[in-house]
Amino acid sequence: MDIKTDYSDKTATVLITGKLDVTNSHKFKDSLSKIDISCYPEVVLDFTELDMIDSSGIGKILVFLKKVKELNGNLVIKNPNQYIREVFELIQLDKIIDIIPSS
Amino acid sequence: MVKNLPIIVYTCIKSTYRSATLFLNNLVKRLSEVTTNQSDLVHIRLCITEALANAIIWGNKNNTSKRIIIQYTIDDRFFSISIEDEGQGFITKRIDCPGNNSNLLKDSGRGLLFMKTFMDEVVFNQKGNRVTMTKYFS
Repeated sequence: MDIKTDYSDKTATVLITGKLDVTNSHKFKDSLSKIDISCYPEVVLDFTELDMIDSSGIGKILVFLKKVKELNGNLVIKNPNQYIREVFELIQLDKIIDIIPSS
Repeated sequence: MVKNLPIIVYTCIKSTYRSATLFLNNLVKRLSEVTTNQSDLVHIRLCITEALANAIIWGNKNNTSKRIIIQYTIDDRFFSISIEDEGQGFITKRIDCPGNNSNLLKDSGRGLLFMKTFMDEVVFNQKGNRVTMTKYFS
């Protein structure tokens, strides 16, 4: 898995490539923790290049979501593939995080 | 396509993420020679990832000297796998369903939900340290 974070205006965009699972979710968590929400209150998790996510990766997103909301920021997930969307819908993650589907 | 089916494998791996990843990569490669259904492959990969993580973290308590015992069968119509750790086991009924609103933000139970949703059969032994999952190819 590779992670790249780009910053522009008030938005931090995190592009994750590959598979996000228990073997690398700590790396994902570390990358998210480096984002200064007070400077970049809009956070986009760009899943365009993400193949798969497991419960560990989802757990890290939920912890980060809590932090973002506490700091009055906003978190969205962009372009999850059909399998990731399926998982999100199963646990109703789509009810608490804005999902921007593939255009 | 693989012609000599079924493939039946009995193996034992170290209780580490590295060993689990190597095992999983090899298994998915073998499976992709039997089925080209991407949905099945993704679901199987996800569920085995969850089961191996459970074995390493909850079963073997991150003790890398412990082992995970695995047996799997690949046939032309189905795939079945048993994953057993050296832990004390657990009572699966105590795991809440994360899909319930009150449990949505809880940090456990999602993996089990994935297994029960995406595999066709999921059975635990009485002790709770071995899970057997079966997927019939689409």
